[in-house]
Amino acid sequence: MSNRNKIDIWILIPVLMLMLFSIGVVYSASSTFALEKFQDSNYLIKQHAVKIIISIVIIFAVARIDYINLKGIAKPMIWLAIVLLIFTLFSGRGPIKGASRWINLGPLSFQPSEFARYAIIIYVAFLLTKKKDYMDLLYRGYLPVLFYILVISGLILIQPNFSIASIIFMTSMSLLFLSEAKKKHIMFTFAALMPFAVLFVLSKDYILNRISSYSEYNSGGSTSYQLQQALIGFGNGGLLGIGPGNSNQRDFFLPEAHGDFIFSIIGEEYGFIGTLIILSLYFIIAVRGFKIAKESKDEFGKYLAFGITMLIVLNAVINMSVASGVIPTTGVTLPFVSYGGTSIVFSALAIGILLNISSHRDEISDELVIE
Amino acid sequence: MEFKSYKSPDRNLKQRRRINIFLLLFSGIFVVILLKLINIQIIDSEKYKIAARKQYENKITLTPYRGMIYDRNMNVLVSNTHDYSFAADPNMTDDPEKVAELFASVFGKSKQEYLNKLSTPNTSFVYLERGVDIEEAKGLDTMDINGIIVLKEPKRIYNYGSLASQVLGFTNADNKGQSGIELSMDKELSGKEGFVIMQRDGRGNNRPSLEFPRKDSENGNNIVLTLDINIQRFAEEELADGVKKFNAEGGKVIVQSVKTGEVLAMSSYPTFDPNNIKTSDTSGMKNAVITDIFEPGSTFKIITAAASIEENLEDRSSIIATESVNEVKGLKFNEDNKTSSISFQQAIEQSSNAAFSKIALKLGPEKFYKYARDFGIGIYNGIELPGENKGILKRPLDFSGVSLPYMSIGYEVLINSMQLTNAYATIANNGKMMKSYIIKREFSPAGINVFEGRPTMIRQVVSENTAKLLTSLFTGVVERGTGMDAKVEGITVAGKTGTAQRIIKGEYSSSSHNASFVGFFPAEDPQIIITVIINNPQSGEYYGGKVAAPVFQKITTRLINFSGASDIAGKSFVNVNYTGEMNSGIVKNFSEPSDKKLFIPNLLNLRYEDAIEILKENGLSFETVDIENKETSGDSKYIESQYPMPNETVRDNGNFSIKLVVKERGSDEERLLVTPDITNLSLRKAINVLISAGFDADINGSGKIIDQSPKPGTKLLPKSKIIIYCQNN
Repeated sequence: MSNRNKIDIWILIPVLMLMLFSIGVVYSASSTFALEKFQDSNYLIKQHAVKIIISIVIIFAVARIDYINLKGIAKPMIWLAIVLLIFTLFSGRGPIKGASRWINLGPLSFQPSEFARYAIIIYVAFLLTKKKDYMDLLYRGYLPVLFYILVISGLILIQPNFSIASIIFMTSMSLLFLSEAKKKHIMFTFAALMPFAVLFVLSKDYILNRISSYSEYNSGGSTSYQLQQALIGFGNGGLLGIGPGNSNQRDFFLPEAHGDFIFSIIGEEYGFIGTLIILSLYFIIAVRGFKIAKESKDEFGKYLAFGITMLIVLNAVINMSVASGVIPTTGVTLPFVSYGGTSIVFSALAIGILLNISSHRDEISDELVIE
Repeated sequence: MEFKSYKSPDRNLKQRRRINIFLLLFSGIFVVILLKLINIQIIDSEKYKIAARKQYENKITLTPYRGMIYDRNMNVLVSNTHDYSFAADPNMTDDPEKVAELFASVFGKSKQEYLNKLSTPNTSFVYLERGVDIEEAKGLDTMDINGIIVLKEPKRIYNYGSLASQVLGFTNADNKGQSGIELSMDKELSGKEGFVIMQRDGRGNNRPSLEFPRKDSENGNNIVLTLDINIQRFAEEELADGVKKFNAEGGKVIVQSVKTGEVLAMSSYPTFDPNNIKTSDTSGMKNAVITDIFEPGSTFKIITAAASIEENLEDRSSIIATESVNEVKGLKFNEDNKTSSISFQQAIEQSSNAAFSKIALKLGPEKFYKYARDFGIGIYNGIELPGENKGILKRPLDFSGVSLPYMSIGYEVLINSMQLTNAYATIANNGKMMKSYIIKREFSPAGINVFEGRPTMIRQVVSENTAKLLTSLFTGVVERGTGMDAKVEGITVAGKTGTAQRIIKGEYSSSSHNASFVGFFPAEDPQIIITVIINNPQSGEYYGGKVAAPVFQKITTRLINFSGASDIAGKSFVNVNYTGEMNSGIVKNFSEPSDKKLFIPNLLNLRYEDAIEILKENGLSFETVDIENKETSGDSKYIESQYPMPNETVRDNGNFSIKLVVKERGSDEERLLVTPDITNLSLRKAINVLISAGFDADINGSGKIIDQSPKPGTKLLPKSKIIIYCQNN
């Protein structure tokens, strides 16, 4: 491995920029809330800053660990994810925001879905590599992979967390699309699942409410309070913003100001210039991440790079689309930027893996060497 | 087949192409988001900026203080205080149960009543209590309860109670004048509202900020009346006595300065207390002196007499034949002496109706009408008070056959008491009619005169000679005629009595009368004129000379004997040989507000003991309210709230004490925060430091920060207020 390339700094720089930027924005966005809840306006930013530092360390550490090692732990990881998800369903911390999504391990409480989404990407990448000769076969190739995808997505769906389940499903299916799997199998899967998805949506009032309030907004009617406040944040920021730390929307106008709706606070404080920069950073990540996938000589690295990039960018565009009212409201964090507890740490792990893949892009995979 | 595992360039290309499809897809999504952001942040930005400003700004009206009202000697008749109103925003109220319980305990009403108000749907504002006195509020106004809005509502305070209440008038719940001077001078007294635009957060709480766009309110102008509150008191008390003594329906009194037209006292009975308005009983609220019109009876003979003298038709010694007239259409001519003729002087002194109807016939309707007009009958006095009724003076055209004799003795004509007073004042003032006025001065809050009332002559109604002759004839009325009960030791009084039959069911009644007396003194150089009218005395006596004249006599006696603070009452009217005692103990002593100002320190959240120490240092007395009613050592207690609030300045009325609401610290101990040191910081920075440290800021003064209270290092509860003292170099 002496001929390893340098890691792709065009992935690293945007990620680091987003993370450093997030310290300023989360500080501003969380201060009023933290002051009221914890009598300390610095309470949340302290926690966030610690996680950012840990995440940066993780990025550099993981970037040095050969991603091929993941093959060895892919299977245990997916089973751990399944066990954790089932465990959450029965003994989750109780309904937070109406759903059981958390596992409480003292200070390390986290959402197993954060872990599961990377576990499934890694495992699918592993399976696609392993079964590359059989992927065109329904029983030997396609269905076993689909099984895991459906199990993980399904467990998250019934938490219920429709948006994360969808993101995981879409990302995993896009990996299948990249493989030798037959198009007709993929098409059939979507066709077969569509009625179930529709049924699920219809059975959940909260999703219907969001959709109906979204369509009301689109037809010029009243908007949900949260979206309306998000739009006021963007609009009041205008072109140049009202200045770092000057947000008014954080003062109990915009719910989740430091979480899912932080993009609106960015728009408020840094204006269109700020949102344009954020948008560009994610676009760079998308372009470079896909480039790493394209240039990887190793099948596993290719799938993994593609899956990770897909997952992060999909998260980002959904979050930004929600905050700016392009699609109905759903709870998805803005990767590297939102105050979101453990999600930033898992994203850092994924970026570390992606960077490591980038440093191997000119190599022929181990597998080939062994063969 | 074994080669399949090698990546064919073909397969690699296919994968690249598929990845590119995804990239293209994402690019599309990015473009959509970008377009949406351009739409919100650039194209529609203005729209959202307006929506943002609307929700951040909270325009608070700054209510000006209404101007004060003084009497001529600068006694404060009307000043200001305020009430508290409590309202709730049901959406913001965290714990309605607790709030309802608290209000129920303070106001002694049922808890359910407040709970119902607190659960009013679809509103963000519902009054819980209105018009609560500072005392009644029991410190509730200083508590910071989520969702409870405390409104400070200004209120008038009438320092002399019902004295002069009809002149002063009163204000409604919105502090707008409803009657009297409060109504007629409402615009001048009101001042101008100001506003301050506060920034607020999403919960509706105001946020401290430096740049409050602000327009200060302008307090109303102050009004000085021509009234003399001492004379007003004499007049009201004696009128009330007279009304009661003669079992009458009511009465009216005016005291006026002859030479200037200044109204010194004015009242009608019954009266009312403007500090305690009961809308159910409005009878005492109108100023009957100018709103009530009546047939004056004999006092109206002044018009006939003055006209006849001025026209050289009569003289003091003219003889009037009276044998032919004993009755004019149902109206009794109460002639005691059935002589066939009397002199003009006797006709006035004895108030002969028969003689006056003859005199009037000689004068003729046109002349009579002209003089009545010139004396101001049927014309507005124009005094600065609302609701004047100018009465009715028939034109000669409308006279019937008996109108002239009727009118000559004060029937078939309707006048108000002030018109009557002014007719006599004209004679007292050598024939010069002066305009009545009651606004002596209007000055701005800064003390600058805006308006000054000055004596205004309306016209010379009759010649000086005519006036002098009539005055001496009126002196005779008091000396030996119908007005002998108006005689006052030490001065010469000139006056005229009146006893008018009142119309009951369309006919002149012989059992219902208006008794009146108009007199002025000293007759040699008249200064003061007093009119007394008693409506419908039922004690048996009903002659003006017997009912109204004694009231006049008592008011006058008190007025000339008064030696207190008054520029118009006192011995100056008295003959040099008068030896009557001066007395001054008549007027109650009203405590003058002292000018000593007390500054209220910030005690909030301090330990009880520390607070007491600070108060002792400042020499302030205090009362403690322990809301938990627990006997515990002062050690664990702290100041929950205080009244007045920190940073206020109050007037020391001698027994001022600051109220402290004390609370057990309990579990709050661990939440205590340490106050940061903000001296030497810029004000903006200091506020930021305080807010982010969890405190609230209150700014005293402007310029550089020189001190803070409490001192740095003090342990306080979150959200405690820190006063920042600033000073310009």
